[in-house]
Amino acid sequence: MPVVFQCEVRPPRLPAQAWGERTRSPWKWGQDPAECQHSPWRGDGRQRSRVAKCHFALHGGTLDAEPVYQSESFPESPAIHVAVLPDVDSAAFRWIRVGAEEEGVPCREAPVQAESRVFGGSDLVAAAYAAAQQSRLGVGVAAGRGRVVLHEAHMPAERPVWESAFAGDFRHVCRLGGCNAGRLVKRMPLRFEQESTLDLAAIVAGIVRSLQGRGIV
Amino acid sequence: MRLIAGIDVGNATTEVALADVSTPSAPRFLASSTVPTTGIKGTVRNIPGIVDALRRATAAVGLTPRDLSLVLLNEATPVIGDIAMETITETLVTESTMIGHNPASPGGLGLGVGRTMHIRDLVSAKRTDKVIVVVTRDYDFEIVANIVGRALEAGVDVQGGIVQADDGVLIANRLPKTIPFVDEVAYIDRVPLNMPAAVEVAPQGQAVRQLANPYGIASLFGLTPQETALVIPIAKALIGLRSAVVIRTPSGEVKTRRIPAGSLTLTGERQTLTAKLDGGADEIMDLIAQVAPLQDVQGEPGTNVGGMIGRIRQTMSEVTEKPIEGIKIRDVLAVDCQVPQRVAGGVAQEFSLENAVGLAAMVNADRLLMERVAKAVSEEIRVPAELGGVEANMAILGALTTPGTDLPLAVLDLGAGSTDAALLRHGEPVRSTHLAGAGHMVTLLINSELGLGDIEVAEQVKRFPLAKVESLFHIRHEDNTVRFFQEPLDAHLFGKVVSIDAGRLLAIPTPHTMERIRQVRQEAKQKVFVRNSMRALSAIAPAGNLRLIDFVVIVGGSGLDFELPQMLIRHMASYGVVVGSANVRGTEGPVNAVATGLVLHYFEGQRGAGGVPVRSQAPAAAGAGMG
Repeated sequence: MPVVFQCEVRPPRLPAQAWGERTRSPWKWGQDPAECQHSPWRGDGRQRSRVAKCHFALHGGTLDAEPVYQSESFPESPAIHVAVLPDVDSAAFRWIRVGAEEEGVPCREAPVQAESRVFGGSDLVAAAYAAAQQSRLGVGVAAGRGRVVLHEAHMPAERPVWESAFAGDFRHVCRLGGCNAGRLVKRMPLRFEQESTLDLAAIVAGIVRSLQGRGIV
Repeated sequence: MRLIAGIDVGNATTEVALADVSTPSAPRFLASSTVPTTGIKGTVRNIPGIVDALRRATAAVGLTPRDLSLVLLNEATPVIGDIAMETITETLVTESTMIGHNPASPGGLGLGVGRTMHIRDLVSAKRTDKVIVVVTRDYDFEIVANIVGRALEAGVDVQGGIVQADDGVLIANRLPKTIPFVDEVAYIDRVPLNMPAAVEVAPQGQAVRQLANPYGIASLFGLTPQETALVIPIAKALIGLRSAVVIRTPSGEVKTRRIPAGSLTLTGERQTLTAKLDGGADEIMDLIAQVAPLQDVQGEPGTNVGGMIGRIRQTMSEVTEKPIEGIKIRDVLAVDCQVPQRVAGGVAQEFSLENAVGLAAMVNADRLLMERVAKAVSEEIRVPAELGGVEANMAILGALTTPGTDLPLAVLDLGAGSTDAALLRHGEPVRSTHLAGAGHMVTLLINSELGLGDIEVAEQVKRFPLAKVESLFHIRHEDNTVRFFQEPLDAHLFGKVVSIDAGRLLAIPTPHTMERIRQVRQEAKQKVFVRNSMRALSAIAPAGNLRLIDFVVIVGGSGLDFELPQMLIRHMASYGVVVGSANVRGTEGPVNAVATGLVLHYFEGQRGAGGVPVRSQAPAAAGAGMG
């Protein structure tokens, strides 16, 4: 079984204009390791791309504008799987990925499993569970029905690890979901309270609610 | 049936031993109880706790406190202790010159040097400018990446960035070039603009090198030898961090200011010595040993330690209702520690480890106090109450009920407020000593050194072993053993260090690793208990020689500690002393010794035959070799 190897084979420095092009994938697939100018790395896809990043930085090499380790190294590389239900803005995946990226954990969109659509109210949890089962990291996230759910492959199917409703800014909740998925992989404590920073709308809504509660508005 | 109760009011717990003394040969013990002490030991505020303890003990055998014929209180040497902690150094940043912190995820990698520039001004930067970009929270990471990317494209040499939001990785990942970004800088508005700055982010698993080295900073900014001497506190504060920023401002400097910590005047029987607090705890303890027996301690007025001693005197004066001049401090335990303190003037809520001294002090109160308590107890439950005997002697009597013990015997009473020791040998009076510093002091040290800010959590760390929740189904204990659970654990515990209380997992809200928490816990116990045990046993040992004591029995609440008896056993083994935890009456473990001793003493007195030569005797002051 030949080792699938990734290597940057562009010249060390490009003219500045080249950055405007933003080519999507600079990686060459299936290149023979013997031809590589750089050090022979080993390990999983995540490690390789991380080493690659340091390595290119040291050699004055270049990286694409897209985050490297987020790109598909090979179809089944370990990653958090994300299922986005049809009822939610497709940007949800992007924001979940941003959350996982900040934690440095790869993440990819997985198709919503057919069987998870048939369940009634818990289809979101079922979708997250199915995503976790598919993921080689055993971590899945699902967005839809106004919520984000985080699941882990060993958990009972009906018990998600973490969930949160879209309160105010759904992008923020999605990002938090991705961040927690990354932390679950990294075995770091999860974040529970939402940061109060970007959520101006929710704050205003909260104030209005409390004023209404007191009969002022 | 003639029912009596022995009551031991301690600094932390009130213990009761209930017995029937109408039996011919030995009292028949019926029940025991332990409740938290209410109020400071030796005051009438103890009454609710005493009554509660009596109620529980009598209820266990279907009776009420009214059925008692007599209650006995220890004729205390109610050594009352107090503890205080003061930092003696402080790192002060005048002007913002340093940001060193460990955000969970700084972005990029490497070292960048340039002038600080707000991101909105980046468009006006010149082509060859070396720039450290300063990004406030209102800029989205994609916009930042776009702006910085275009600036790089245009030839502006962006060397690194300081980011307010948690976006460092996201920005760095979207740039054509790997440059370091330090993020989660809370007070970004305090970062001075257009000043030379250096940003360093170390690879995962490593710490900054250039900025944690004074000469590294000097070479980056071209500092003179004099200026290099000034940056030492900066370099020191950045050691071990994964990311750091140093900004050079014209008048900026970081200082380690030594707060005038003051000195302690130690008055002994024969001589008076002065101990400087910034000389460290060891120097203070050496001088205390020199002046022994200690008669009183004064703190230098107008300094931290003056304030500490003043507060202790004030508390004691209120408790004992004696004039403040009449309060004599009879023992002091000083302990060095490192306390994380927020850097004054820092911009990212940085912490710096500062030197601190913890002090435990103790005063001897008089018999009158306990008599007052006994009278109040008697009025409360309408049962006669009297003082039954000196605490140290009662502890020995109680400890002797441990199977396998015999005279001569030394008792080490590890309580919450004081560490006491007593030695009984055939045909000799009991020699006893009371020293400041015990369980509460350990809690205080743990609280300060880990920066927990919550005494309950510190108590939890002190009492229970640790574990790390490694997955939703398993934890790893301190000794690396792994335990699996059938049911998934609470997601709130995931990834955290927890303490295990009878199978329950309690999260410890701190970013410290399990190893660090364990180290701090064990060191605190070592500094307080092991040290005090040595002092106490040397004080009562014949000719002050520890090797002349053969058997030591540990009693008191801290004897229940899960690791302390083993720590003491290991330490004392080198002196050829046999140490072990008591098992009072063969059932109670190390607690209830004094309460049991009170009952036994009463019973012996009733029979008129003093089986054990226990005589009342004035308590020895700390460090006094009683003869």
